[in-house]
Parts: sequence; C-alpha cells; structure tokens
Amino acid sequence: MSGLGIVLPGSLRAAVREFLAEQLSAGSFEPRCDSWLSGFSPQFSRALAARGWVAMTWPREYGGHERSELERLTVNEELLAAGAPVAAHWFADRQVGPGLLRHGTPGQRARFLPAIARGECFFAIGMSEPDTGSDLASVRTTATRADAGWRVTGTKLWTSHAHRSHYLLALVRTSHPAGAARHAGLSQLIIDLNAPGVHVRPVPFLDGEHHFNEVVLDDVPVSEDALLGREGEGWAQVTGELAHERSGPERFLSTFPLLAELARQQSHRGQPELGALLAELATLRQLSRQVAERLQAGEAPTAEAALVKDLGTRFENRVIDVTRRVAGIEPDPLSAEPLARLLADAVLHAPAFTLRGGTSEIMRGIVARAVLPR
Amino acid sequence: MTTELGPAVMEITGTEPVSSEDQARERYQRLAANGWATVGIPSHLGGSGGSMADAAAVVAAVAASGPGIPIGETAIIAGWLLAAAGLALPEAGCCAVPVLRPAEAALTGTGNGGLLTLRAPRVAWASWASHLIVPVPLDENRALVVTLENAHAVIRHGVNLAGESRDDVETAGVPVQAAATADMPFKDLLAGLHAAGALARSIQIAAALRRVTGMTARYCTQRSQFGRPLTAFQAVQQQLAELAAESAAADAAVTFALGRRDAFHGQVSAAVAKARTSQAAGAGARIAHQLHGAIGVTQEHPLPRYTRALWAWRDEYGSETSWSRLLAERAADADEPLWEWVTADE
Repeated sequence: MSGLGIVLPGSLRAAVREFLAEQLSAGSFEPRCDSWLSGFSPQFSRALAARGWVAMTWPREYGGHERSELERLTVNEELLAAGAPVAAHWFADRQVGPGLLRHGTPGQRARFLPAIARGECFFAIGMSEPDTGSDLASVRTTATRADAGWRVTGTKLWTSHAHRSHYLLALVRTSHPAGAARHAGLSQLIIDLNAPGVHVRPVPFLDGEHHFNEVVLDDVPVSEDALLGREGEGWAQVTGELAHERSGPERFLSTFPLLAELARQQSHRGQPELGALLAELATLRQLSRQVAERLQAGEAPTAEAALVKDLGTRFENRVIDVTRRVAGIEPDPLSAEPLARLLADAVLHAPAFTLRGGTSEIMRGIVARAVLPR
Repeated sequence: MTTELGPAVMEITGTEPVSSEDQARERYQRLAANGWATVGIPSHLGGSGGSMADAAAVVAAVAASGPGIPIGETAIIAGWLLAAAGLALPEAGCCAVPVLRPAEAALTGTGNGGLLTLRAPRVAWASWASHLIVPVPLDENRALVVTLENAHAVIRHGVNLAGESRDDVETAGVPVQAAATADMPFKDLLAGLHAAGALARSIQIAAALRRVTGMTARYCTQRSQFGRPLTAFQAVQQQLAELAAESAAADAAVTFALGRRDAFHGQVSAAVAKARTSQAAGAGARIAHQLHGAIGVTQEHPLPRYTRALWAWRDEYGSETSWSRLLAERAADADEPLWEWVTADE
C-alpha cells in the first residue's frame, strides 16, 4: 500500500484473493452456489469486517471505511465468485446501512452502524407477507400508536435468516390515509427480533435448507426511536434503495462457482457455449459497474438496476443449462465431485433467482415504463 | 469530446435512412467533406485524427440513421490497417476501404513498383470506393499493406441483406499505389483486422438497435387495439422490456470493448462486443417485428431498413458463435482460474 493509503481496485482485488485463499486452506468454508443467501457464517462476516470489507462506503464516523462504490463492488464480486459465505452481514451492509445513513437519526446511526460494520449486528428484511408478494403496497402488518411508540401486529414471510439475525427492518402500515394512494401510510420500523411477541418459524426451502422464515409479530412493543425516517414515507424510502438491491453482482454471480468449475475441467474447455457466457458476464459486469457509478453520483437508477437483475438472473440460469449440455453429468448433492455438487446446489436454488428482490415480470414492467416516450 | 460528435454528425445524416444509392453517396460526400469519414485515422496518415472513442461516436451516429454508408470501413477498420503499417491514405478526399479476408494476395516486385494479384470475396463497399487497402503476406515476421485504385480491379457487385455492397474483387498483377511494412506476421495482421471489423459492426449494431428500440416503444404508445394502447398490455410490456435489455446489453458490450486497451490485437474485447451484439441483433429484431405487427413487414416502413441491417451485420466479421468460440478458447488457453482471467487487466 502506498503512503497515502489509497488502494486501487487491482491491489484490493489481490488482497481479497489472498484472504479467500487463507480462509479456504483453513477450511473455514466450502465454495457454494448462491452463497450470499445460504452461506451464513458470523465468524466469516466478522473476519471480513476486521479487514474493512463490510460497510466499505460508509463514513468513518460510523465505523465505515469511506471507500468508493466501485471498490465495494470489487470486494463483493470477489467474495461471490469464490462462493464465500457472506449472508450474515449481506442485507445489513447492502440495504440497512444505506437506509440508516440516508434516513436515520444520529442516535440510530450510532447505535446500529458501528455494530454492523464490525460484523456483529445482523439484519433481516421484512417486506413480503402471506398476501403480499410483488404487490408490496398491500402490506397488512400494522403498527398502532401506543404510549411510548407502537405495537406491531402482523406476519412477515420469506424473511431470510430471521432466526439468526438480531433485528428486522420491517415495512408496516402506520395509517390508512383516506382517499390517498395505497402507497401512503407505510413506514419502516426496526424491530428487535428478541422482543416479546416475536415468533420466528422456519419455512424450509425446497431442498430442506433453513433460511426462509415466517415472522409472526403479535402485539410487539416497539419504541418511538425504532422508526426509520419519516412516518408514512416508508414506500419512498424502500423504493429509493431498490437500485442498491437489484444491481449488485449477487444478481449475476449466484452460479459462478459452477461455471468456474466447469471451465476448470479440461474436457469441457473451448466450447462456444462457454464463450457466450463469458461475453454475457463481461457485459453484465459493465452494466453493474455503470449503475454503481450512478449510485456513487447520488442518483437512483431504478430502471437500469431492474434491467441488470432481469438479465443477470437469466444468466445465472443459463450457466446451469450450459453446464448440463456440456458436462452431461447428473446433479448430486452428496457427490465428491465438485461439479456434480455445485450443479445440484444451483439447480435447486435456481427458481428463487428470478423471484427474490422483485420477480422478473415486475423488473420488466419497470424497464418498459422507463423506455416509453414521455 | 465523444458526446459532442454525435449531434454534429446527425446534423448531416438526419434521422431517416437513405432511400437510394444517390442519396447515400450524397450523404457520404457531406460526411467526408466535414472530415467525419476518416475520423480515427491519424492526421499524419491523411485522416482527420481523433481517438478510437471519437471514431466510435461517429460510426454510431451514422448507423443510427440507417445502413448504406461505408463509415465503419473508412474510419475504424481502414484506420487500424493503415496505422498497423504506418501507411497514409492514398489521396485527399478518397474513399479507401479495407480488404479483410483475401483468399489470395501476392505482390511481385517490390515497394511502390509492385504488382498485386488479389482474389477476395465479399469485400464491403469495393464497388463504391475509390481505393482498396490490402494486407499482403511478406515473410515469417512481417506483412505488407498496400493501396491501389479500385479502377485496376475486376469487381463483381454483390449485396448483403441490407442492400449494402459486398463485392468480389480480383486483380491480376496490377500496379499498387503505395506499400508499407507492418511488423507482425500476416496472420496476426488479419486477426487484428478481423477484430477491428467486428468492433465496427458491434458499434453499428448497438446504435441501430437503440434506434429500433425507440421506434418500437413509440409505436406501442401510438397504436391502439381493443380500445387501449399496446403499452397497456402486460404481454407487450414484457417484450418491450426484453428489447430494451438487449439494446442496453449491446451498448454495454461496446462500452466494455472501447474501454480496454487490447481492442484489436488481443481480440478478446472485440469478441465480447461482437458475441453479445450479434446475439442482441437477432433477438432485438425479432421482438421489434413482433411488436410492430404486419405494418412492420412492409417495404415502405422504416423498421425493415434497420432489421435487415441487423441481420446482415450480425454475421459479418464473425457471428456470435465464432467469437464465442474464440473467447472460450482464450479462457481455456489461459493458465489461470476462470475468475482471474475474467478480471485480468484491471
């Protein structure tokens, strides 16, 4: 590192690789597809935080490292390409931190951000409900005013890692303004998952893994300072962060460990189908980078981010298709062969790629509206 | 600078495709008179100077107005071939186009007094140009680049799907106008030339596809069926979004290639650009036609001017399959894990 401490993405990349190699040789993780959703390792997240690779873009004042969006992108794509277990801190780093920085009070920032940056405080995101999937404005979980804050009642569903996170950032209804749009009257609340009245029940994923949960909130007491941002502004706050959520490398690298293993095997090298995937990957990295640059400039490129997610998750699925055609092997979750094991992982996780974070159909609706002449 | 060039070029080209060869020549003459036809060729070689990004901006602006103008050849591809040998444009105001795939090219005699025997299929714009720029083998480590007046050549006119000249060229011992040596093996010169061609076509495809996307979105807003504009139908919105995604991907693939320094020689950048844009060309044209309905398949509608170009350009200077194969082979040749190869040179 030079005297001024400016680390360019190239050397940053090398540092992350060195770290990953150490972790791999120490046996701290095994490369997996979709590791950003299913690879939950508090120790790994803390080790990353110790290197300054969590909360990278946040102010130093709150435990951040004041790096650029591009540097954050560099670290994250290295972690995902290696199939490293990053789920524990992922959602707090990606959504909660930026939300707190933009809308939080100084007290909230001081309370949560340094702990997130140390890899010690994990957040789950509570948006979907049993009757609320793509139509987010229909949330029914309700917060009613009580003496020192609210009491919250309702059910959140598909809440990844709620059973091992500390807090839930929930979108709830705080009022029903008469005659107003359905989006009005929503608010974001930070709910302690250890509070009385919080019941977390597993919803096993189709392969039996436990990351989804149903979070039942039964008259949960929530203090006044749990409100993130302004009461009734939840919709605008949530949609303002969507570009962060949808344009990152986790939207096209979920199956990269499989592609890397396919390419490693001599007998499958040089196939045109692999080359087509590489052209698409270079294109997606370019698109994702362009969104990161716009985020850095303070813009909210929502449609561009939706486009990255739609194209990126299709690419994740194509990796599976190409592997099946080229390798001609059976997916085997227990195989000693990494390719068969990674393929099994990828196939079983694939249906979620084009659902989570907004379905492809919703993404295309957003893109289409942006293309139409005004 | 790049962003300022587009509007200046569009002042000349307008936004409508040319409708006749006379109109195309007149438009090309005005582009050439303003120096746009040779932007990207260094000024000491008789061009207008400017960077690769400048040349790309000009080629994109011209392609956005439609096919029929040889700008990709006269600026980007000719620029690369001339620069490879330090050879100047034959004369001021000429229209010199490169020969990319000579089936046979041999020079007898030496230097400027040499006589060229050439056989080359489907040379873009040969019958339109005043001069040809030809790569010729020399010895193991070097190649020659020569220029000749195309009046010396026997040219059999042909076309591509967009009606652009793609002509078979033959010469039998005709005098060259000038010759210079390129310090690279003949096959490397051809490979670099092929990559320059692929990048030029990628830029054209991305620009045309952006235009097609805009046309299609506008049409879907204006056209009503069942009492509602087409855009009110979710099935239409989904297709429109897919078209927009193909267009954005084509743009991004070109941006990726232009942002890297190995543009031609390494071939990898051009491979990414052409593999992705050729795929986008087919997918985009299919959606645009489906959304336009029957009016889009008439000769008088502007859409087919663009889609015929997309169908032609996607296979010129390498299809998505051939460039994908090259990418896969390069990744396989590299003695490093895939991710390290993907992120190399950063």
